[in-house]
Amino acid sequence: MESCGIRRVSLWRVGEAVRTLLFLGGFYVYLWGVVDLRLIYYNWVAVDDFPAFFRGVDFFREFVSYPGGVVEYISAFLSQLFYVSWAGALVATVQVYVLCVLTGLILSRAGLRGFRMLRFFPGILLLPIYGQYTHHLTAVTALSVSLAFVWVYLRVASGKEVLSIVWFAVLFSLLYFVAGGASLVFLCVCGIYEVVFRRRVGLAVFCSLLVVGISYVETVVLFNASLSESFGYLSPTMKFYLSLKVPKQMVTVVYILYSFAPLMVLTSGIWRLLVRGSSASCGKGSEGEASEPGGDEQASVRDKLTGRFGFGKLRGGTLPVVRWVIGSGIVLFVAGAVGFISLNERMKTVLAVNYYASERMWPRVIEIVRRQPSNNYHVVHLLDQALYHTGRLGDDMFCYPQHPNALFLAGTSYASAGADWQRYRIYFDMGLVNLCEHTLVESLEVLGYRPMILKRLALLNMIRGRSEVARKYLNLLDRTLFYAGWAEDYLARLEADPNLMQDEEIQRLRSMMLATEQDYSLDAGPERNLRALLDANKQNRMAFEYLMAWYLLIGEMEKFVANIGRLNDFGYERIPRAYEEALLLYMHNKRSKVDLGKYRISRESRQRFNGFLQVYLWRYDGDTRATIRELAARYSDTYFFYAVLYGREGKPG
Amino acid sequence: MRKRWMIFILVSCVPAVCVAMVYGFWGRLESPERWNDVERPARIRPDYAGTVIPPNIAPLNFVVVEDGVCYCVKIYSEQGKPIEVRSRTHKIVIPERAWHKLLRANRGRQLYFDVFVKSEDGQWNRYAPIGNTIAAEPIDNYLVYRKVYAGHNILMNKAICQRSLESYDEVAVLNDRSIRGSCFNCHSFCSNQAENMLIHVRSSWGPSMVLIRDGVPSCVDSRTQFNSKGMGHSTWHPSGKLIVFTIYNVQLFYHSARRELRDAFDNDSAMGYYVCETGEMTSCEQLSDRSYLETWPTWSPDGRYLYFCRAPVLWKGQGQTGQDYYNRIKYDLVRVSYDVESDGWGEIETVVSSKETGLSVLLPRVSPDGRWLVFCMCNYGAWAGFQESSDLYILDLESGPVPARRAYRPLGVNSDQTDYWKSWSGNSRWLVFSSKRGDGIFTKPYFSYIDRDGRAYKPFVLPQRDPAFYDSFIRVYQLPELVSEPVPITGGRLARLIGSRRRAGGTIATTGATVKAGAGLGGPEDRPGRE
Repeated sequence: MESCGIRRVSLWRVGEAVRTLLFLGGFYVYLWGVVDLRLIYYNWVAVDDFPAFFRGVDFFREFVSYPGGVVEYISAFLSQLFYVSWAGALVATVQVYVLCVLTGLILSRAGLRGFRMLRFFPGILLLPIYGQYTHHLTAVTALSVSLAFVWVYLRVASGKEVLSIVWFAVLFSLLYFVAGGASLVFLCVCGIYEVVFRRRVGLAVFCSLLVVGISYVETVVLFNASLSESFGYLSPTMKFYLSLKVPKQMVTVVYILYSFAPLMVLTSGIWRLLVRGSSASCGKGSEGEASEPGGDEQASVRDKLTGRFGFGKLRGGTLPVVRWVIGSGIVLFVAGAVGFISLNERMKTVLAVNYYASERMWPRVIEIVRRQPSNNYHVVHLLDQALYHTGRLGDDMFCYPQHPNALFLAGTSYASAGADWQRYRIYFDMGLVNLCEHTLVESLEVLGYRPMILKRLALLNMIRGRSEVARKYLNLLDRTLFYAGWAEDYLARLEADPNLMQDEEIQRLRSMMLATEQDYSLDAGPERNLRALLDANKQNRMAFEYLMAWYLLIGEMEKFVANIGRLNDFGYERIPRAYEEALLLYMHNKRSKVDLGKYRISRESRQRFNGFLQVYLWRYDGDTRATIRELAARYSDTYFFYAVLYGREGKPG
Repeated sequence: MRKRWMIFILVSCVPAVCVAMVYGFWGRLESPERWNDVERPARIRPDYAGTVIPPNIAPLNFVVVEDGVCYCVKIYSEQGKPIEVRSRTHKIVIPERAWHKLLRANRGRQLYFDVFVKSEDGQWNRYAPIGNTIAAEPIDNYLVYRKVYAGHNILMNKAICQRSLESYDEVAVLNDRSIRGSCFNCHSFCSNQAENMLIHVRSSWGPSMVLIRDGVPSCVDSRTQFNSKGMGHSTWHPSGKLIVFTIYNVQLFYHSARRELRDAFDNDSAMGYYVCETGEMTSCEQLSDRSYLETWPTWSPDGRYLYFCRAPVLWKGQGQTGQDYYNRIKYDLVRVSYDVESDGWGEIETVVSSKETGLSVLLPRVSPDGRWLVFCMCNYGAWAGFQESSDLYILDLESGPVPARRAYRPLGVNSDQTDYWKSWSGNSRWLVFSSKRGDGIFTKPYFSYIDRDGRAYKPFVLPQRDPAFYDSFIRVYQLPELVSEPVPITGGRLARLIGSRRRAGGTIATTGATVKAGAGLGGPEDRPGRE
């Protein structure tokens, strides 16, 4: 009989372990394969505070100068692992595991052993956080540390009140230093537990006062900071989180995450009081005795709770496997549903395009946009870059949605660091070094010491021949986890060849550089910059193609035609398709010819234009809607259609 | 029981054995006993050679830029026990206590660094000694500065910090963490005393100035009907009774190819003053003339003169702005007398004319002994920090009467990069100034000894605990100000004060002194036709 009981217990444990394993396995696969956590590392949209991490004591020293710094330091280190998708997913999964275990232990302690499945709840809550590509690793780590301290306190502080107070003071002092504002969770759970389960109201009140004293001494006296600052830090309840530019619903999720353990303990306690009350009214039990949930009483509470929620039959029955299967199914189904619903596909597309653009994997950028067409200006902006780098901008740009604001992310709504981080690349490639530096410095200010920004700044300064400045960025990169090799390589190159005269890529980019001071401010607009670049270097193909694209997009046909002769400078074998279409439109409207020198407009383009005119001018006899419908079906990938749709000057008259 | 003891002893021995093994493996760092002499001094970074240093400065830790496997530096002077620093790396970190003891015992004497480098073949080389002079006069104990990225438009990670010059301790007087979403700019002190201090803050609930008077902080809403954006640069009257401030409409723009791509000009600027007792803000014609741009005020130490810079407004036509004239605007250095008892202002006198110099004269600062006036000159405009051409000049105020021509000369500390903002120590012997030397981008504070004849000695950069600190430091130190005592208010308290909205609003004086009463101060918003 006894061995049967032991076997059942061990089976139950195995079952729980398998369930946890299934949950964690699914979680890991979801984060690695579906969400792709490295996109968060590159996320400039919703994460403007992705932490930087540098090796060395000096960097660490900064973090021990304020409450919560230790957790922030650890999280900064762990966050860097998001650079590699599988490692990031592993970090997140381990974190979920820790949260599950700690939550399970606290639930058991609070007499909710029958509801141990609720331990997966924090893990499920993390799915939308990652699915929305937000970064709350620091807050979640702080919560984990706080829950670990709760568990330690509940284990050790069950004896004399004085001893409990000492334990509380020691643990809180340490926790407040390590986890800052997240220590409020510790206070809440321990306080509720002391009041409800141990009936030590006086002790709870005293501990609350102790919290005020300890936090004041640590914050104001030791660290010379303000209390609201320290409690706000790493706590979702204060201004710190509210002031971040993260989606609000994700902050709500962090709120829920933080309040879950205190609420569970409180609910259990209240329920227990109600049960005890009803028992007392029936003449059972004794009032006023401080007792913790455990043994028979705990079993009684558990049975009543499980009975209330309809699990009684299964628990008491002889179908543990069925119960396990149903329980596991529920957990996995809920987790799957939450993961599926909360995954932000649109954001994923934007971030994936950004990622591949950062890695200069241009064909992948085009492939993603072709698979998931997007009219997001950031995506279009990067797509245009990809088209240029694959030699297809002049041919294919109108195969995708276009807008003048997307080409340079111009307009006041794009005066953000995110846009700066997108824009820098074209300035870099074209040779607008000062504008590139401006956008990168602004990005650094807003997005923080992200290695990819430091890397670009180092490169830019090497191109500009400012090796002293470049060395600073390289020295900084040398202390990062994943960019140190690259930095070391360039430091060695600078040592051997301070002006990098042997570096072909640097020399190429230098030759494109706008080296002569212009008589206007760099933020005067794209056209002046592009023309200045072309004046400085007639072989700047990117400046030419972007200038032509700009003219097409804003409908400046006269200027477009005036620059068509530059095709000769770049050795084009034929006129790109979009240019042909624009020329046909121009010649049709002006009733005149354009001297194209050795170039000829292709027959395909002429046929396309004739077909387009037939539909546009004659077929539907003024029925605009029908006309547009057919044009969209047959000519949506042409400049003719763009000109008609956006009412540019070039539309056929 | 015996077994337990055995385990205990074994466990205790493990760390000791490890330490012994490490020690044995690496070997003890040895002192050089025999060496070859190298005739030139060793190259070190930062450049702490041939300078004059204060007797109370923190150790000048440095990196030896010579190849070797082991380094040893002997630091000595005429008196006191020499210091020997041995290192396996290029970094030389000098022990603080011994350093201070040595400096204290040798005021006014030479201090030498003997650098020994052990080459790979085990041979020690001794380089020629590096000499520095320990000045007799100490420098003020604290340096207050703003630490930010070398940003352009957006400044998010900023802090006003206070650094002890005797050690490396740095505390934040205010930082972004405390008052997130707020911007704090110029800070100023009354006669190098931190108990009278002012910081301008622009927060989500409007601009204000944090005023610390006699150690008591208060927050004053500095917006008025003529001045919706709050104050700019400010200067305390030595009596502590009033603060003259600038208001300006500055516009930032970017050069297409210049090394320092940022540039700025004032579309308009004027000055006013805040009377601390009454909380009044007012102005006078001398400080806010419609036909001039006034900026960069500073008081003489006796409080009888206000020095400031002004330039005529060149753009008077319809639709013209400062952008059209930005590189033609040149400021004169002028002064106006003031009687603090009667609140009376005298006539404006030109001290240094831009017509004579051909350069724009900016950022005057008078030494506390009243003898020397240091200022900047650059090719054009009011923002010397963005001009590579900006250099420091010194003028002997006792060399002749104003407005007669006075002798000014370049200060012997200038570099080929921007040298601008400066502050005197209380004893007038030390000058701290901002310089972009070295890389042209990142501003660092440099210290120079100024002797009684106004001669400046080779400057040295603010020492850091990590000798290689500046190799990867990509922030800038702005507005360094020397003070003798630490700021008496903690950062937390200041943040709470700013966070609370208990601020007294500035009031507008309507006395006869306010020449543009009714029309306001004549500030940017009051000048029709000018933005």
